Amino acid sequence: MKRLSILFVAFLAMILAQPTELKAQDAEGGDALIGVWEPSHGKARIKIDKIADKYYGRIVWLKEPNDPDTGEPKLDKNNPDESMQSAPLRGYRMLKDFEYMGDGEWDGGTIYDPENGKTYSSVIKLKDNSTLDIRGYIGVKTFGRTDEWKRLEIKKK
Amino acid sequence: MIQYKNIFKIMALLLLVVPFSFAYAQEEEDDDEEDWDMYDDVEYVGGQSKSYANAKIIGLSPAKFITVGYEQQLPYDMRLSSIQRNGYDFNQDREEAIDQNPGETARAVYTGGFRFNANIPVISTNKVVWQMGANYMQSAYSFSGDNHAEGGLVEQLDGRSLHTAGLFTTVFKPLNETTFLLFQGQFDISGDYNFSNLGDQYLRYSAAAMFGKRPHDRLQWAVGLSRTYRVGAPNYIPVALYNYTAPNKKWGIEALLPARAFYRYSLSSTNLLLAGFELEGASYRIGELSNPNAGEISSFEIRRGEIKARVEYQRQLTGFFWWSVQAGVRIDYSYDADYLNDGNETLRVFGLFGDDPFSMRNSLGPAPYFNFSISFVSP
Repeated sequence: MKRLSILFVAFLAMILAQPTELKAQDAEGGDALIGVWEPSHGKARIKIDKIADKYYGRIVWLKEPNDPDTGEPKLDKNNPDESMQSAPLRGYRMLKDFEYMGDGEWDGGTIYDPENGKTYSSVIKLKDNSTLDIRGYIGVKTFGRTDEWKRLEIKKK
Repeated sequence: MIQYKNIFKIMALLLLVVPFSFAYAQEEEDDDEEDWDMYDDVEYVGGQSKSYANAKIIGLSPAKFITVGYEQQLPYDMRLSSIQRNGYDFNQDREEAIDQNPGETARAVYTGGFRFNANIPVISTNKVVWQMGANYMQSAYSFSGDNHAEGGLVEQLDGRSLHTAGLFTTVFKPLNETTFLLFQGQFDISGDYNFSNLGDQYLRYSAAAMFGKRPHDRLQWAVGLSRTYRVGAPNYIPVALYNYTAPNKKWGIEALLPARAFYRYSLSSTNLLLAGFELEGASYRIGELSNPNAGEISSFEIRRGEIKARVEYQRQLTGFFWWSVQAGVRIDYSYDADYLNDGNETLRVFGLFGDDPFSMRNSLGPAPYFNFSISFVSP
């Protein structure tokens, strides 16, 4: 009985200690990705969040929010999935499933290009605290393109 | 004991459920409570990102990383003059020259072969795109009959292949959001060579430099100068790039003049038609015809230049693999021979830079042709 009590306490301690350990890891780099970023073309802003252990990015701002043809908010009309073509572009999760690999690199994710409706494998590298190199590729990393994203800070009102 | 068991069960259940509930709650919070307006007013932490002109525009037919294809011309007639070193005046009409100095006639029953092109990005960022590539084009010939003139061009070509193999590089350098520079360089070797007789006398180079603008996502243009063998002999000519997509994105123009120009019609995003023309050519050393005396550097070379007027249908096969079929007419621009004294190039540029005489005047009848290829395309 006493042994079981010790095991239970140890187990509890392990669980309680886990967040602290994760926090330490995040402080070393993983959560540096969290924030609002702007691609080099400046047409959109993307907010990257962490959900469970992975990182996701959604479009939170569009330079041209409305479709010039309809005057209505832009929709994801190039999406190959017809059921998604009526989804608003603002709010669309275009970065998915990135995992922190250490050394300022997040891999294993995908990036969606709303301009052509294609999804590419993607890897993100933190160049410095305010700059990301984000590469979309097909198959192997050679067949791809790297874009530079800049970190934004929301002005306090 | 039972109590401990229950506690473990509850803990295990909590461990399974809590992360998912947390993730779900976070997503819900994102969707329901996002204040979109707050992203209007922002500061750039490390300076604003600089925009650069993209190498492409919206709606272009897919750029090809790797292409493997086969092309064949249907039968056509050839009329060849006799070989006379520098014997044909530049200004003399080609057909007239052949009539006055007939060599031989023949019917080509097969012209075609395998084609390969690879265009691999070395650096591909928003600040610079540098690609390296390789290409190969085979033109195998077969003629009807077997009574060809001994040592003549037809005998040299019959049952053999002309090869063109090259290495090339392209650099796209945007200067700002709308302006860019484009450089291209290529080395290739063309002839009926094999690994045992391959020498640097086959080597030719081409190059182009252009300055361009990309005013918006549906238009880019550029102008510049190039050295090219596209019409057989070397030329220094102005070049112009013009890529355009209409506002409805259904049609557009893809042109790199004078090399090619196509009207594009998009049936869908994975399905398009192109109609237009392309110039294709090279300078070929061909066996004993080019070098009748062993060890001689001076040689005759066939300046092959063809205009291919065609309709092309491109369609996505799966993912980033596309297939394409072309059908059209091959129109002969040049199949004449020049004599390269000590290997030195002739340079005429349509008579503007010189009027060196030809050493052979040849004429090929028009031939319907087709091409089928499969490509691994760029994102």
